[in-house]
Amino acid sequence: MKQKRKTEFFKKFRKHKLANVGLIIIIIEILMVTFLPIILGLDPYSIDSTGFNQAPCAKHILGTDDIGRDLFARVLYGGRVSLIVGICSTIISIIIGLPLGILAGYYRGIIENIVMRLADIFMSIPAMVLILVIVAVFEPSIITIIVVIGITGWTGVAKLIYGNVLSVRNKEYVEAARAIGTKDREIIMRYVLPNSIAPLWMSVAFRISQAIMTESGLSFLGAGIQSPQASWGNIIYAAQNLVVLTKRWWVWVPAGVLLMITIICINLVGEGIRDALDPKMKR
Amino acid sequence: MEKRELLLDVVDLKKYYPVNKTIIKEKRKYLKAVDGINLRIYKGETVGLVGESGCGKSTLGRTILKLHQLTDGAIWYKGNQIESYGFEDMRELRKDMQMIFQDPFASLNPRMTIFDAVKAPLDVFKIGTNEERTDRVKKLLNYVGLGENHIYKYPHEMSGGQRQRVVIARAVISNPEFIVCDEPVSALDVSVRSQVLNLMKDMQENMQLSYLFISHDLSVVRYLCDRIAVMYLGRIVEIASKKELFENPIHPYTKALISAIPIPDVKVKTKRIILKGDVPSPIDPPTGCRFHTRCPYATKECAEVMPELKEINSQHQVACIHAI
Repeated sequence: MKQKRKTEFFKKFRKHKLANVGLIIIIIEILMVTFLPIILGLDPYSIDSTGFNQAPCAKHILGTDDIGRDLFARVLYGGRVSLIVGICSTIISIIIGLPLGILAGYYRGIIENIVMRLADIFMSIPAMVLILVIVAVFEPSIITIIVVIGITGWTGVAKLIYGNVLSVRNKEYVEAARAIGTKDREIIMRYVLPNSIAPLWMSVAFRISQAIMTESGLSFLGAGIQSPQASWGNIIYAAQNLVVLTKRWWVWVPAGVLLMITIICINLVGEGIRDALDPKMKR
Repeated sequence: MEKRELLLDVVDLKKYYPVNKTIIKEKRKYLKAVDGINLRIYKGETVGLVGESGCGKSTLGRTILKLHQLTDGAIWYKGNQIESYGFEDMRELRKDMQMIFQDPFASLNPRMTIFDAVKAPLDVFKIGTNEERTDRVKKLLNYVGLGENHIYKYPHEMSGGQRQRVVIARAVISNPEFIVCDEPVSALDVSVRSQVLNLMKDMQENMQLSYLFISHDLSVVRYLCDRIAVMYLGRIVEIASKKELFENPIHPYTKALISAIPIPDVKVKTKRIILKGDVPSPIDPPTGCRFHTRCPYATKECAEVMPELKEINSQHQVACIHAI
């Protein structure tokens, strides 16, 4: 039975063409950023003293930046950082936010008050300021940034799920489940969760892109991934300089385009998963 | 009347919902959905519970199954007093006490196949091995008229009548003895209604079920029930065997209800009793007899004395001070 449902899920997902394109692109991207630097022996830190600000040429296919580092290498290494930050921090947000949102929505009462007021407190502090403070206390590294972005993001997940659980818990089928003697844990897992999780798939995509952006912003403020380490964020922020923006497109266009494609693809995959899990969708 | 086994005995059951939350006790207001109900259900019989919307029928059904916590009173089930049972004790009992819900579109989990939905009670009570459960579910679904090809469908792929069969199958799969049916056919097409009712009747004969059949449709109740209780504003005003109630209604409210049943014959002239006014609010119910504000025979006394159920004969009880 379980097996059957799994294959059904994949079958439906495969029919969602755009989601598949998105998934394939993301997989290619992940493979590229992990293996290409090793295969080609690229080094994002070595400085080519023969050419600063070089336009794309045979030696540097994406040109070099203002101190002569190979931009192709930097984009690939930056991709590693950005994808890891985006995905891992979102996972942390969900691990914290999902159970809290469900418990608050299902049990109401004290738990609801504690969780929601906590979320309000978290939300009332500007995330950027909180992140800056925490990063200032602990030194900025990939792990600190992942954890910090992940922790500040739980409120969104919790509120979203909480709202959905509130509407689902009063549905008659939940009462019916109670009437046949189902335990709370099972009601949550088999009745409440599957019916309230759909919007999360879209929000996951949004969250990953948000996390990548936040990391970029942090890099710009000097609290993110520290130079010389690369991330898509700090590569793009080089374009703050008007000369770079207008004259040296090769510095920021590749990273920018990759960031955009990644976000679109993640969104498509999110949509595909949501639709494949919905028994009402038949394609 | 032969002596039958008493299955369920509800004694002075009350269910109040708080309307406002004040610390001062005198100012607290309650919505008295169910206000002192006495009801006995014997093994194998069907008791109909009729009344207009908002009179507390559904609340009574749910409170008996303890889906809602009761405010006051006692519930005896097979000689055990269950109103103080905790979750675990009640869980054991739920094998025997089930419920059929009104809206088959809302009472099935949209993300569970009907096979899983019907199998759920067996999983909950861990009855039999997995193969036995599967077997039993298939047999029962077949019995309620849903063949192999429907088993792995989702609720939205089925019609209302089919879904209600699923809901019924889910209610009887654990071999219960008592089922609360909360308007099981009111959401269905007239054409499907009789099929579902016949199915329920069939099952009752085969499985020795007792039903508490909640409905606002007297013709449905007439078809299925042995005894009928009429409810008004949280209280039972008349309870009698089917024959007695339809042939010799005593309470003015029951008379009005019965006069409202359409008779499909142009030659028959019915005297329709039209009640004046609306149902009073259950937050602030009238004093004395709940019905006196709308009763055509009301006297001064009616507003002062709250009538208790009086026995007219062994099969007929009425709560009206004017009843002989």
